[in-house]
Amino acid sequence: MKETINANIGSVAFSLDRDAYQMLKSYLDDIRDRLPADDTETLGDIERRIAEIFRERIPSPMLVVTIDTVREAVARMGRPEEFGQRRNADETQPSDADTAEEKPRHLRRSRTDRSIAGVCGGIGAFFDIDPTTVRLVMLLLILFGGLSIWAYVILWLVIPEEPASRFDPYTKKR
Amino acid sequence: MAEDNVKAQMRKGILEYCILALLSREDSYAPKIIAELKQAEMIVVEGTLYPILTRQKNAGLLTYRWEESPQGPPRKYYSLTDKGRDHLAMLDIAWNELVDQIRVIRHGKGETQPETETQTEN
Repeated sequence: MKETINANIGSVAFSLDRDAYQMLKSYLDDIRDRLPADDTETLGDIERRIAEIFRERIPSPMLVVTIDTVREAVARMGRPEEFGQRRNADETQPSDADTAEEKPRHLRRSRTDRSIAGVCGGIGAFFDIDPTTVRLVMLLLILFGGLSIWAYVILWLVIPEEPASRFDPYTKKR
Repeated sequence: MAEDNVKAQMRKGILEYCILALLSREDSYAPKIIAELKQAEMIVVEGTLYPILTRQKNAGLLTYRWEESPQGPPRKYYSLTDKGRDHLAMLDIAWNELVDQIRVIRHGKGETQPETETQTEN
C-alpha cells in the first residue's frame, strides 16, 4: 500500500505517489528559479503541458501518477538546465554553491580538491583562498617554519570529510 | 559530440524565427507547434518552447486567445500580431541574405546562382 497526494496541475486534478509528487515539485521549483522573476505565465504553460502528458499516459483519472510517469514527462520537457541559469546562482557550481551561501560554513576535508587527504583543499574552501596557496604555505611551514608533519595528520583526523555530492534525481537508476 | 553541439547551436539561433514562420501560416497551440518543430528536428525537448512564446508575446510579436478543446481544458491559441508580421518579414530577408552569403562562402563568388531575389525585396 502506498500513500498518494492529490495535486492540481494546470487546472486538472491528479493523484500522485508521494515520490512522484516530490520529484515533480522539485522539478517545477527548479524551473521557477531559472525563469525570469515574475514569469508565472511560462510556468503555468509548462504545468498545463505536463498535465497533458499525464493525461496521455494515464487512461483513467482513477489511476495514480507514478514516478516513472513523472520521469517520462521530465524527459520530454527537458531538464531544468534547459531553461537557463538559476537567477540567484553564483556563476560556477550549480546546486551546492547557492545553498552553501545561506548555511553557516563548515570546515570539511574536500573530496574533489585533494592532494593527500583534502585538508588544504578544505581549508582553502573555508577561507576562500586558493588551495594551492594553502598547500604551499603548509609545505614551507613544515620544511622551514618548524611545523610538525603531525599537524597535518592531526588535521586529517580532526576535520571530517565533506558529504558526497548530491545525487541527480532525474537520471534513472539501474 | 561537438558536431551535435554545433547543430544544436544553429537550431537554437533560428528557433524564434521558425516559431513566427509557423504561426504566420495558421494560428496554433503549443502541442501542435511542438509536433511540427519536432518533425523538422528543430527542438529535442518540449519545455524550451514555452519561455520563447512568453518572451515573444511580451515583445508584442504574438498574442493568444483561449479556445475550448474537444478533450480536456481550454487551449491557448497563439497568433501573430501586425508587429510580429513585420518582424517576420525582416527575418525572412535576413535569412535569405544569410543563405546567399553562405552560398558565396562555400562556392566562391563566380559560380553563384542569381542572387537578385533578396536585393529586389528590400
